[in-house]
Amino acid sequence: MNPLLQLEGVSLRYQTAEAETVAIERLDLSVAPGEFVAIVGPSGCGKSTVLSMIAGLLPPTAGSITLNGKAVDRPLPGIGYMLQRDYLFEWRSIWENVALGLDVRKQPGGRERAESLLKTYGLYEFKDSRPSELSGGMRQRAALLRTLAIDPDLLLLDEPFSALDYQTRLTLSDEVSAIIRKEQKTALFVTHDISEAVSIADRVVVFSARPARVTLDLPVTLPGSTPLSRRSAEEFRAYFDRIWKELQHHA
Amino acid sequence: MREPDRPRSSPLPGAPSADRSAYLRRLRRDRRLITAGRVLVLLLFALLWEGAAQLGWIDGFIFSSPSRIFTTALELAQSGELWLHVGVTLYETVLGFVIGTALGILAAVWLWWCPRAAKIADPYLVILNSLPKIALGPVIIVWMGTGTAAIVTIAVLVSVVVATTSIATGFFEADPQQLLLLRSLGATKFQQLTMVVLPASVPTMVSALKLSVGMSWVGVIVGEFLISRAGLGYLIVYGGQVFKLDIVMAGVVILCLLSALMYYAVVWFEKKAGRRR
Repeated sequence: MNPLLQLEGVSLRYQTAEAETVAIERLDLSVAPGEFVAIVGPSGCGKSTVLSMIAGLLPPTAGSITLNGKAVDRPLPGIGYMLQRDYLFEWRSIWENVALGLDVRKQPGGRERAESLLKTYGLYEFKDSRPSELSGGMRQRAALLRTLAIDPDLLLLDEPFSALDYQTRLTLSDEVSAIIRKEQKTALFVTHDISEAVSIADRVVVFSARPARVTLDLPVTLPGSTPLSRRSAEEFRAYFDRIWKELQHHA
Repeated sequence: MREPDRPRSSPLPGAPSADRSAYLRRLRRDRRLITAGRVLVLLLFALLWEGAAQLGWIDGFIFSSPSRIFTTALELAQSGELWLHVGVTLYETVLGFVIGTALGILAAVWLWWCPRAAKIADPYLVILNSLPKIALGPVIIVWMGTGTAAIVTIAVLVSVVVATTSIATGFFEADPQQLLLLRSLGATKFQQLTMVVLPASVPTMVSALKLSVGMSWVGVIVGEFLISRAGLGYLIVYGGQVFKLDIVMAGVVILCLLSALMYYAVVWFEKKAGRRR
């Protein structure tokens, strides 16, 4: 099967007045349609930078990034980017926030889809609320629906649960995984939490410290249909240890 | 900002408890006391002034007194002179305020749009901000003539720099992550402006409005001092020249009332805008 997303020899050098930094060096990565891939790596290794490049916000200094064979040279409509925090706009209602991408892209056709997303995922009764009236978990769910409303082929999730408390985090990771699988989306998920990566993804990719390279590409098969149930699987520990050792080795 | 699951405030069913009623009573009493205190300060001040003038502690001719101010204001109102001056000053101030703010918003948008222009303009804005723009009054009169145009120009000049810098500061403080989110959706620069920067800066714009209201008053009154044709500034200068300090004081008191009125109009607008958000 042709990959949905392909990174070939991607490098990035940051320039500042003080110095030149090699953030990413010759990175190769491909994601097949329908896959749920998690990237883990030490903090500051450039995981989020890779997502920014795939989102078309930051051009790589070398190498190529393609989505469905098309070069990513600007933010493409096929990509939905979910940031660490919800960044809901307080001056918009929940409904208007979820429809943000449709407004930006002037796609009035997506309204019905957005409305059915709100209904399916339990936010319809809050559609006229302000973001500040919602709990942290609900806000992040609204942010996911905002990303899904534009019907992207590929979802980029940049530590989407890191700003939440532990319990909300576990619940929401179940919900998000269920939503993404139900909507049959491909997802690339960045986290520094090994358990989270193993529990939610089909494949875990481990990055080295800067400059980021792929040091391990590990397919994960665990029994259980939700991240929470997968956490209690027997093999969970083995996957965790394998990734933990890999990270230690390169630290 | 970490958002915990906040408990929703839920009123307990049934009649309010004794504690709650007591709390509400205290709250109401507190509010009444504050209002009474405010009125009292004004009354005491007026009473002291009036008393001092009546008892001959101060010379009422030079220091005036509340009763003299009141009579003078009444006479001016009856002759129709007062309404002319109030009308002229109000017209000039509102015009100066509206033009100054509009120019300020436009200039701020321009600075936000081209960050390089903002960097180039920065030292000049700092200097202009600390320059007493009123010093340019005589020049403006030479350029624009001795009419409303010159007065409004002075008012605009005084208010526009503060408006520009404070509104632009608000624009630059718009959350970069919210802008990043918009850009990831493919938003144009104009969409970033209208969908994030402008709505996020409503609070800063309102406080900039409050500043420029005051500035416009300063500009207009000084303009009227210099040009002396009509308006409260003219009335005050005229009163001083003919040594009728009752007229000066009446002018100042009316000015006080008007500027308070205009300030509260902005506050009202702020509340309305706040409800919408």
